[in-house]
Amino acid sequence: MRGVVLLSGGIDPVSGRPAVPRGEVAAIGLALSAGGAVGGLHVGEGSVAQRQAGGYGLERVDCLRGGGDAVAILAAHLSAPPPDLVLAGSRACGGEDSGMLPYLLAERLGWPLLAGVMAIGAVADGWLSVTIGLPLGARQEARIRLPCILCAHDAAPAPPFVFDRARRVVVRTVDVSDAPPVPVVEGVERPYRARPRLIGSAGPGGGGTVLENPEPAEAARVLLAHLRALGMLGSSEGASIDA
Amino acid sequence: MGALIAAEIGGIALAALAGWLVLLARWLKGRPAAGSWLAGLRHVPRRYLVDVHHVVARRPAAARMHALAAGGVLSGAVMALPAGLLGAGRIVWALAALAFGIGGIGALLVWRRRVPRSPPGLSGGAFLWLPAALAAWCVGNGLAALFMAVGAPALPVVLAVLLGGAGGVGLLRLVALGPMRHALAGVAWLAGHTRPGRFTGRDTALRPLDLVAPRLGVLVPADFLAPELAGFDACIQCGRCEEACPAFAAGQRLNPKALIQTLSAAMRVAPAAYAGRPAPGAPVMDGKGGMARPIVGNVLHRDSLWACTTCRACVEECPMLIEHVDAVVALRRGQTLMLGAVRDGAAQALQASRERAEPGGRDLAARGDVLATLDVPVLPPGGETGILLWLGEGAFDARYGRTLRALVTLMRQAGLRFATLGADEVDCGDLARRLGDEATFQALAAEAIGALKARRFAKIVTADPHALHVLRNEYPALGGQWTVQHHTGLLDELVRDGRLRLERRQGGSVAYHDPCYLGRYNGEIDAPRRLLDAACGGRVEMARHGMKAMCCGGGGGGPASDIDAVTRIPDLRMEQARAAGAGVVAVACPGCTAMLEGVTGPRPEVRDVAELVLAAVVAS
Repeated sequence: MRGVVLLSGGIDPVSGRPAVPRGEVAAIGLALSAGGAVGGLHVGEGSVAQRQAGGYGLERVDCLRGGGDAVAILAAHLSAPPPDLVLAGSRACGGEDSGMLPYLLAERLGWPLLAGVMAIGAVADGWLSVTIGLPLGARQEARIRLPCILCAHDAAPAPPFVFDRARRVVVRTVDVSDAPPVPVVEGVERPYRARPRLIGSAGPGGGGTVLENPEPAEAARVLLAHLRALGMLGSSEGASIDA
Repeated sequence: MGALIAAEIGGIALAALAGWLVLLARWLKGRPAAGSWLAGLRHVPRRYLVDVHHVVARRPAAARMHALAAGGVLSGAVMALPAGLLGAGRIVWALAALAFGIGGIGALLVWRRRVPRSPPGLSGGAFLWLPAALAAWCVGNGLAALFMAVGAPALPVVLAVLLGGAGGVGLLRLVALGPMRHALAGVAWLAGHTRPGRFTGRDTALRPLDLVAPRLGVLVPADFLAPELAGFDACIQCGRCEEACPAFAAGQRLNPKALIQTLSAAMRVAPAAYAGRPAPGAPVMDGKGGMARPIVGNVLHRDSLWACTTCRACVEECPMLIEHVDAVVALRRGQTLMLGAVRDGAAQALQASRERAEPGGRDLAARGDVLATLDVPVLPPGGETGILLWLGEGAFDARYGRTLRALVTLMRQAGLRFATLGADEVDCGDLARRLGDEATFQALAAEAIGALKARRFAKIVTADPHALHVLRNEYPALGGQWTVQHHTGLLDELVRDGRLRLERRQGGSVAYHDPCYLGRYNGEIDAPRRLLDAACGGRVEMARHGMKAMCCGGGGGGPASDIDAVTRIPDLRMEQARAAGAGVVAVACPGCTAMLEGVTGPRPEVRDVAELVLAAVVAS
């Protein structure tokens, strides 16, 4: 299986020095556990962090040099020929990095995406079985169609850092054609508005009702009643939905 | 008849030479050493008779035994061989007989070492045959020489030569089995010793590693330097190292003697059995040895490697001047740099060192926070000051902050001009280097040297002996040379110059705990004691003090590696302080402070020398 690990710029949040984010180290570990060749992919100039990523087990890191939207550059690079598996961390740590990137990329490529992956299992009929990490240590088994994007859970087992591998990693700069720039989203300035106090009105304990296989209409009625009880909907709103 | 004696002694000598060449051929499979090994042979007599004897003579009985046995065995042979070959008068034969007789007394003393009771540090096994072989050689050859001197008939001479020859064969056999190997390997090791600076002064700094070499550190025996391999074979298994080792005492899986014996055995496919105490609780590692077979995880348990606190107590005690710590660090370098196989806690500390330039992962700008109330100036790049105060790793610890504040207050009172590097002070790299991560150490060192070179100052003062050692002894090889002083040295100077006046405070008795990196690594054991004598009422000494002091357990990445133990090293050390009747344990290192303060239950107070001096200072 050919795996590609997406590498962000990698800035340590405390020191501001180059560092591979924890989630990307876990992603490298997942890629290695899947077997086969594993390469790293970074949009931008390579830095110390990309070389360090080699220390965790990547044999090669390609740095795509081109202007514009990183998602478009990655999508173009990954579509020909597509790898079996694209892995990423789940949180960005600096600069223009963004945890949204894998989601935008999945949307662009039309690939499925799973986040919070703790372990990778076997492939059967083009489907990959994975283990998802849930809060409080719970685990969930899932299957995903290949090719796909997996975001590693921060707590997935991390491979050890080996200096010998870091010094051997081949960092290649690949010039790619510029992609259209990211559309600039202009912010709108408006006066401060007090938000409804959700926690205050919810009260301690929360409560709630568990419905087993409810009828859609029944489920909607319970939800609306709950939101009204929280003071988030006016009593007149939603009357038409009830009807 | 003389020719017969000469043939017997000469034959044994030739066989010994052949055995030496066989050993040499094995050692030469190691990496070549820097200097000429052959040329080093000229240093051997001096190193042997002065430096080795100096260590052996710390135990006079052992020195007597060795002088008599080795002296008799060799001098008798040296006299009898030419006497037999060239023909000699009765006086020469009589002298040879006397020399062998002395050797015989030595053999008796060798026997007495293990009879009636063998000390636990000594090895058994083949060593039990050593007195017999020595006695046969000395008595047989001694009688033969005596018979020649008195002109006895042929038969008694032949019988005596047979006995002597049997002893000689026995001694040769004991070369292969271990006990006599030290005699042959010792010559090679002393000739090619990897720290020649030890013979002219002090040489404790680790050597920088070439980070582009294909193999970093040691994975297989052939990765060691050739003379180092001879050094492992030179071990006589006297057990002085294991008696001094804090990790061994605490029941961690390390015994320095077993370690060296393991490395010696690792060179051989079929090594002789080891009959000394093993590393406590370590599983038997029965992998096959060989020059190209992995050491760690095969013949040596991983924990043995990470239990070492690099305190150098074993090196200090070793009569063969073996460099245990160098071997440990070389093996750690292989594990860390080539395999990434470090303990979890150590891996975290190394990652933080790499990514945050600080093994605890804390913000460098927060290092000076403990001194916030004292408003210590930060020296900007290009700035100039009298003393650069290197705060070190301890500054992040609130407890050690008290020590640093005491030091700064004293420096203020003495009217010194000083500043810190502020957020530009990165970790000196001590922890990374001791854990074998030479790459991170060199990166940190380059940054620290750059920060220091950008500023002008007369000297560096630090309260951390680990930083002191790295800055003073290990940065010069990387291009940074400064005068570096420990805070106890500075305070001692100020008191002696009269810039600080102390009035002795009465209180409980104070025992000074020597930090390894100040004492054994830098030989500074007097200044702190002078300060304590001036500041405190009664000073007592623990049984192990000065160059023989016991480690607190905090060095060499020990706490980060967190090796299982039966008891804690600082608990043992605190017990020694109690036994000395100390009410206060004076410390001079952030590591020792943290380790000894971690001892639970009622115990002597732990105070830094600077705190005790501050309590005694009077306005001048």
